[in-house]
Amino acid sequence: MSPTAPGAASPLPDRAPGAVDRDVFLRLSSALTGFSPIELQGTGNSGPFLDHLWRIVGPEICGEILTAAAGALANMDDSTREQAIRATLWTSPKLGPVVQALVRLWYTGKWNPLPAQWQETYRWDHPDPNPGAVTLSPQAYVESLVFTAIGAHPPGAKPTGHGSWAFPPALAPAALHHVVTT
Amino acid sequence: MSDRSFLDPLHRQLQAALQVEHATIPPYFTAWASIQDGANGEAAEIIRSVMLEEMLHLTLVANMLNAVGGSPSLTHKHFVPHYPHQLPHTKRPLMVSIEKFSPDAINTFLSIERPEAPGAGPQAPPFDTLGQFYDHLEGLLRTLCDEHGETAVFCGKAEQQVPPSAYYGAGRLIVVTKLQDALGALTEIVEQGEGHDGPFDADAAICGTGGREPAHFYRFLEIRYQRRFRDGDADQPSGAALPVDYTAVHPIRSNTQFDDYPPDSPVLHALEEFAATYGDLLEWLEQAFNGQPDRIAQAVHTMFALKNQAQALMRIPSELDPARTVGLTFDQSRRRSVHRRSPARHHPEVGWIRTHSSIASSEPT
Amino acid sequence: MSAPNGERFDVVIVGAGVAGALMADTLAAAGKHVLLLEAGADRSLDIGGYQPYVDQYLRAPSGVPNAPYPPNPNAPSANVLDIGNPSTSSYLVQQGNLPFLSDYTRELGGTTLHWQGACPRMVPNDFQLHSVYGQGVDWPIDYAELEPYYEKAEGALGVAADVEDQRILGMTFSDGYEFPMHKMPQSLVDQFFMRTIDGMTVTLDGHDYPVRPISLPQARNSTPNPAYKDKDGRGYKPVSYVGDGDRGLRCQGNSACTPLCPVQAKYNARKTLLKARATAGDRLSIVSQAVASKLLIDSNSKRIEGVRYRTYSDPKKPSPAGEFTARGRIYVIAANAIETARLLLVSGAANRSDQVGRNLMDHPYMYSWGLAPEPVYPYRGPDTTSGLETLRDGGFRAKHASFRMSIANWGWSGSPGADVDQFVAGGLFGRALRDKLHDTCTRHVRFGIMVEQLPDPSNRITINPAYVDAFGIPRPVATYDIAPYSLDGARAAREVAARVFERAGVQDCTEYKARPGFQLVGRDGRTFNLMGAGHIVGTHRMGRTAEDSVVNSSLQTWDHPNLFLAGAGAMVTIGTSNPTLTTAALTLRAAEQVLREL
Repeated sequence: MSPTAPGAASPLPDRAPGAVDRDVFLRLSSALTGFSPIELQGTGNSGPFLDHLWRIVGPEICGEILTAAAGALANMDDSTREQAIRATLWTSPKLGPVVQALVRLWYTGKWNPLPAQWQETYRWDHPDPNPGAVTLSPQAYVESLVFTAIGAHPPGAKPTGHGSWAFPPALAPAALHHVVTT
Repeated sequence: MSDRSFLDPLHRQLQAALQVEHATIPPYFTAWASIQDGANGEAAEIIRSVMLEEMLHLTLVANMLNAVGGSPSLTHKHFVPHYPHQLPHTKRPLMVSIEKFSPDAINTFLSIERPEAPGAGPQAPPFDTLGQFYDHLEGLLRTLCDEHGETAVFCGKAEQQVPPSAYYGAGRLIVVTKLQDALGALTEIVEQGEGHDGPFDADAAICGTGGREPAHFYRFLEIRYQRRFRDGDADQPSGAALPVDYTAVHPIRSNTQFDDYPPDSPVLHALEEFAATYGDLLEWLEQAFNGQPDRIAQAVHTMFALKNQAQALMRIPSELDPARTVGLTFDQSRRRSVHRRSPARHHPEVGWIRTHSSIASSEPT
Repeated sequence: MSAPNGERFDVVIVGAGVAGALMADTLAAAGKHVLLLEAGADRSLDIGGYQPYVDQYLRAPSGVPNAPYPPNPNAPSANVLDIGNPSTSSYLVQQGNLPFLSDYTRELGGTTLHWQGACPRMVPNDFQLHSVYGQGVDWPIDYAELEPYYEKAEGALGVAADVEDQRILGMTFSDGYEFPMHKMPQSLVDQFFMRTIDGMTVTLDGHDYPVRPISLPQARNSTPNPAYKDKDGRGYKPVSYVGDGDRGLRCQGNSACTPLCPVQAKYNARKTLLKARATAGDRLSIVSQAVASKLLIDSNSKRIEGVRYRTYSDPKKPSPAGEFTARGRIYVIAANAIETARLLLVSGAANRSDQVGRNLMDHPYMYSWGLAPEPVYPYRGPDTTSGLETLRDGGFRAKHASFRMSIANWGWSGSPGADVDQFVAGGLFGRALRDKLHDTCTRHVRFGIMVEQLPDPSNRITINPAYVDAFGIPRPVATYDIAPYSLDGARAAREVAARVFERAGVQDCTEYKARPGFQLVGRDGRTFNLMGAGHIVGTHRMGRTAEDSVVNSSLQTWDHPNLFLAGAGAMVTIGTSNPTLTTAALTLRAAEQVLREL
């Protein structure tokens, strides 16, 4: 059964993400995904993903996430930055499920609605319109990061050319990349 | 070994032809890649097909050069022009830019492919139109054959050339072993590019798609007028509508240079990587054109990768102009430095690593 | 899309899949007037008719074979996402010990829209299983008789293979035979196994057999072989995307063969339909949205005198429109093994032998997967470029099923998405997540193992008037089980796979648990996750006599001289090869008989 269009029909709530929000979101996404900011910008998905989150979890929760993120990202050291993200976001009962869903969205192009209990606790008045996992858009799928991470490509798009599968892929191992987020 | 120096002018002119045919590829590629996914499908397909035919022309010229004992060169320092650039070896003012798909770009493409005026004669570089240049080349070939004999002129080895089996799509590739082949190749190039008798090829069989595909010039006219040509049309198409949306295009900066960006900018390094990938393409083609035709397959892989890298760049907002995104550069001047970077061949913020590091080393055959 | 009513054709064909398309192409090229009826939606045979499938796929990417093809309540089909055991609500009613797990597609082009494209031939002993091994049933023809038609089929579908690789297990080729295209380049995954299991043998039933990867013949565009010559002495030109001469001339590695190839580098029967239409002009009429509902039989002569069909106006909702009768001198039903059997049963046709619907077979299919010791960069290229083919025949077939093992290029089932979910749930993010995904997924290897199934009359398609479709026509009912012969073959296959992994240094991660779409089937304490391979055969088998078969070796029914049944339903045994190539060969052979009858 094919998933319906994700709650994309509804307009953004009155307070829309500003330029600072978008910048922090990009750098947070970079820290969360292990892809550099311009790699993420190259997907064209940063804006749409923040818009989606804004609609689904609302401006207040997004604001909390971005505030915590700005704090964590102020750490220059990779290790303390990671610890800060884990402490203030990843393990937070309120914000953790959202950032985890965000990582999955970046990596697979699919939005997985937050667990029923979370929705009942934090968004009882704005349930997620998506009944189940849904591909956010063709661009979300085509630029999903997991394929870049593993030297492959999304099935059905970005083919690498006849016979290319007989050779190692063009991209070098991800171990050589690293993230800088300021 | 007999003195082959009489062939030097021919080699130079064919190498010039190689450079001219190539010079259109970065602009066509950029316009094509700048079209947003899902939009302008027909226009995108036209530009793509023209670009692929230019690659065919490049290969035909390379085959001709090999046929007369020359060695095609695509990686020497000045092979890729610095854009914006006066179209190589052309007399009339024709500045070609690396820019997004737009009415201006289409006008430039029309100028590039413009057919010669009726009665216009052959011209050596600098020439008015490509067609006149090829007429001149035809004359030169005939003269040399008359003076020295066909066998002396066509002294190259057929195995050095790219055979049809290594090349698919976009028209007919031939191996050149005699004057008649070379003349056929020149005709193919001119018919596909400018056409001779209006929108449709006089001989539909020349056209590889087997159908009545207009020459490049007329295909660009279809985009300009947003209509397809049909039988009976002369200079303006009156057929089916061809919708074009010039807003569904990445708003890239034109004629991007490395120096536009500060030295440690992540965008700069992404641009260098892109240009280096393009350099890989030229290296693969050069190998293919110098006795290793199976390298065409690698060149194709590189083209696929190039498109992905281009589209990624074109989505990045440019710090230099808030209304625009990062453009492309094909500048080969930093290629060696990218090659020479340490094993982590990357910039911390870029993440891209170029295609096949092993171009220079032993390749799986 | 007009619905000819009363017009008389030379041949009426039901079903525009590969068998129907090849039949239509052959007959129309011979100057006959042909009507081809297709139950599926009316879609143009150009970019506009196919691109929507690609767009739908990118909106909702899924490996489920029918995912991009919109459900059509007027022409429904078995659905792998809707399988109960038992079930009366699904289109294919399930009443056996096990559910029948395969699906098919009812669209112009049929199941070749979503097939993988694999084209191995059957091996000689597959045709003589009973004489040689005392198992199953013999065919009325042998490999040698079918060989010239395999060659024609390979030309018609456009098969990429190198003949030298294929001279195994008794398969022979005519002098100087070459395939139309060179083999598909073998993947890094293949190369890994070629290197690591070089010289390996396994012992089955006391005999040693070599195990080595062999290139898989497939109907997918590769480099044309200049040494190939068709019957007119012409070379082979790869057939592009239908309606777009430049697209799909080579497989470019979209890695989505099932459920669809975005550029049509993979063969689909639309290519044959387009060719047929170009050759035949108005001698060929293709009518879609036409569901055959009954064969009309003259009670005296027993000849078929018409095919009644129902039309509908809107593929998106039940929308019965009219009812018409198509008339021809000869009728060919090519609606796939389930739908053909169903039509025959509904019509009371061709069943003196009581074999219609019986001997339903599939390949019970299972995976074995693991982690290679080094990156092999899967998730690229066609699904399979090589397989372990050498155990498709051997003395052990007296005791248990044979099998073939595809080397999968697409990593593990459900991955890499499942790995993202798993690692994130495990607390990984950022660099660590990216690295872990890279380190593990680049080493994913998997075998797809298809196990032979013997014909069993109690595995069958029947009908029951209690279960009908939108037109009130009884739906197919499946009664299906997998016998010990196959389960023992599955066990042997699993052990071979484990040995291969061990030899290659692959960490075996195979684990069979109940999951949707798979059956957990067991025997003697060993269970396997088996699913359908989409290879539906046997339901109107050929034979030597009218007593125990439905058609003769030219696919002509014993009971009705002007009725032919073209499709995999005619196969007597399934062997271990994907059935489409054999179906195509049988159909091309049958077409000669149809022409003789006209």
